[in-house]
Amino acid sequence: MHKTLSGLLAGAALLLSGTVADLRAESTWNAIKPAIFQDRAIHQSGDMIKLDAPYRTIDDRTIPIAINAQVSDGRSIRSVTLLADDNPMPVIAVLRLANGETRLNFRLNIRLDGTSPIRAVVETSDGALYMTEKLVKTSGQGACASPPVTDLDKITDTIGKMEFADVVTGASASGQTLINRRGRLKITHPNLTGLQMNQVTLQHIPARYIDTLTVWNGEKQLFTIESGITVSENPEIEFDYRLNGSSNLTVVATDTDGTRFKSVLPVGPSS
Amino acid sequence: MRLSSLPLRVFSLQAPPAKVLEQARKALKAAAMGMLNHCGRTGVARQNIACVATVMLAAIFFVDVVNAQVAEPADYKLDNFRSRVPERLSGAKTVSTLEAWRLWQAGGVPFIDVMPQAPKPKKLAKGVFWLDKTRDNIPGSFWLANVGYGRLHPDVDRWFRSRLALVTAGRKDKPILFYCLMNCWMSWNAAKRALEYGYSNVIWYPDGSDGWAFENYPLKASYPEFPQTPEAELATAR
Repeated sequence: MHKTLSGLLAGAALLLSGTVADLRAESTWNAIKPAIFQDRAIHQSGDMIKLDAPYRTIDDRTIPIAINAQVSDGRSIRSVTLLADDNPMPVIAVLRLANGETRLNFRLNIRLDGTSPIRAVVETSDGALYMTEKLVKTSGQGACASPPVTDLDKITDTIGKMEFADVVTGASASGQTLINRRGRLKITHPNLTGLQMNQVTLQHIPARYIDTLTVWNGEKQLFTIESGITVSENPEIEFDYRLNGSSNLTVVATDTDGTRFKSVLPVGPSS
Repeated sequence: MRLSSLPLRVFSLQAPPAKVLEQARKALKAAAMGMLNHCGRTGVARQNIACVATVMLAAIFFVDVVNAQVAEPADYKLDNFRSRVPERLSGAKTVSTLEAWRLWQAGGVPFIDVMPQAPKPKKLAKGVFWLDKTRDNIPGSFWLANVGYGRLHPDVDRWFRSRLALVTAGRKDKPILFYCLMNCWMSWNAAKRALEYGYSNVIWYPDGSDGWAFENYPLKASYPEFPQTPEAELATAR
């Protein structure tokens, strides 16, 4: 009888393990929150932020996450901080908007070491913080340590190369007028995490990743991004932008080796 | 067999003892063949019976596939570390969760957790927020990270040897237990390595912290010990 009971309890524990994982996730966040946001209050975002991420990933090395935010009470969006609690470097990226935009569409591909809550924290122009979160379950590939697909002996030829094209959105395809354009920027960079092992020498490959990226339209800065190792190899970002006179975007990225990459890219649909 | 171990076995695709399986398989097959023979002779409700018998035979086939044993490789496992493991490690003693629990309660056997984890990289952006990861492992364990890979860097190998010497007070005949997760080859590799180093009382606990957690035995959040190795120099990292 006792054995039966313990079996049932163990079974119940298995069923409840989802809840247990949630509680543990909460404790990780409790360690992250003061380190990043100190004692500032963070409000639940309600309808203000929409975070899109797959519930279950297909490839842990490149997971698309998209954030859509809008404030319509006279304030504007100052920055967005994206976080993955259970990655060793929990801050995925901080996006700072330069022009007091009230709307934001932003998408990038990330990698996750394991199942983790993903959070988007929006800071409005009055300094208030709003958060939304979503749990993303991984496929168990341990992407932070998975070998880079880039041939590291050949990266000098391609590192820092950029491509840019407007993305055809549902709105533009159906003939509606887009207030903002949406562009997709691809950067060739191995974004080495420092956690990957060289399979020949059996040593860890030193970290080397893009840590800052700034985009201008003509003379006017659109935004900057500070990013970490959670952003995928060969990063891809999508963002809405407004043309203001110049038909070129200038992108400057730096990586942790101190290398600076600059591209001037014509806007418009890809030819 | 404890009831609580049943869902665990199904969940993890761990095979029940071969003898039990073989008996169940024989009984099922005899019944199915009997049914097919019976309906062949009488023609009564032929289709229904044949259908049931076919399902039974299919079930036997499925059980056989699920229980196909993983052969013990001659050498270390080099990849796919999270996959089914063999039933045993030649030269070592393989223990169940209950046996591991008794050893742990009795004390005296060092428990070595070999769950891999990369150390914090040296070349990160200034001021970046890094969260060292903990793992819930068996209290009192020595967590030696990265010693369960298929091949080790010479520095890691040296470090693993010295840590084992310390843990066993230099006695090669002292029992030492290795574990990581269920269906994880890291513990199999590490235990095999200890045998190669000349330890004569190596214990392998394949169900690891998963099996331990399933029985609600205590776990403790721990940090690993890392082998000290220089990071690789990249021609392109200059």
